[in-house]
Amino acid sequence: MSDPIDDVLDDLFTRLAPLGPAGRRAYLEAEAHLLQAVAEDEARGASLDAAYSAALSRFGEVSEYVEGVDAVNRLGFRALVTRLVGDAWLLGALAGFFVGLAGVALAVVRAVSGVVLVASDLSGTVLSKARCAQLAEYYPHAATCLQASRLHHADEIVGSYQTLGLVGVGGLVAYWLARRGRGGPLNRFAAAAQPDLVAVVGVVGAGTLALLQFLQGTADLAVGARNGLATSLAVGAAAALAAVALSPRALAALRAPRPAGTVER
Amino acid sequence: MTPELHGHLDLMLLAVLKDGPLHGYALITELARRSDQAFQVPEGSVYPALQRLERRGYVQSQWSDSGRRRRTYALTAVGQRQLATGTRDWWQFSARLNCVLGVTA
Repeated sequence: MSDPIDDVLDDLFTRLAPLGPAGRRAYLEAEAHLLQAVAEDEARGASLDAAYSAALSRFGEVSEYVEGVDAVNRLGFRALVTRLVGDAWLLGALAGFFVGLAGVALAVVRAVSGVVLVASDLSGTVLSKARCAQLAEYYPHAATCLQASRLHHADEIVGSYQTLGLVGVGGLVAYWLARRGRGGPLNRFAAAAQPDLVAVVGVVGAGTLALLQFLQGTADLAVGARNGLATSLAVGAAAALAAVALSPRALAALRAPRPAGTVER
Repeated sequence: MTPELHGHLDLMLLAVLKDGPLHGYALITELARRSDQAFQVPEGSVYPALQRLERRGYVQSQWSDSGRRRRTYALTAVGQRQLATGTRDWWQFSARLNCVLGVTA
């Protein structure tokens, strides 16, 4: 024979089941709450029937509880956009940071072995006179137009990668502050971000990029092409580093999904 | 729920959690105690409100198991700031209302 609490819990179970993990959590919370309410009323001397009745009365209507849980877990358009912006922010900042590492590595390569390994200009490339004159203005010490073009492209690559790195570091610092409530209007985006999802996407994306870049570098080496080789390998190495750095979190997220609604610091 | 409480439940929950993590039942008990039993919310309405606060990043929760498995809620840094903002807004509102009503502190 069932008691009134069992009847309510059965009803809740049926109604909350369609909500998935959020419904399961809501059910467990309601169950723990009602059982504790009954136990405490009984401990205060109430009869079991009176304790059941008081606990259910204080809890309120089952339908209102289910509607409340459903409303919270229904992801509205605004919440979805906020979450996507938060995810893009974290993913973009991480990507920028690792591109910046590639930029630092390429700056070292440029200083040690020159610009040929960084810039992808092929030997024999013919540039217009106007372009050569333009490049000569910026690189007067270059022996040839091709050399000036390589210097220009190497500067572009290293400079843009390092700038992206600085933006990435800034983005990560801002994210860290916003997750701790110090980001003003940005707080809600950081709070909505899903680091686990970002880690999984990051591992897949960075891993794929690393593979492609290493294949490109290997193919270039096979045909003896050195132009831009260091750029391919540096980007590949940075991407591989990103994939390795993010993989523990991504694996943990895939292996042990958290209960619905858990917020991480 | 008492009509006067509409719109203030979230702020009250954050205020109660300011003193430390609590599970839902203890939070409801503390809310009633602080209001001298005057604020009697339907207890079932507190859990969706807590989930809403969690979605917004104001609280975080985890299962705890001390005899009975329950979900324990704690204020986050973002929640602390939201509580400070909400408290300040409430003071400003009540001060202006007092002026309109001619109530002196």
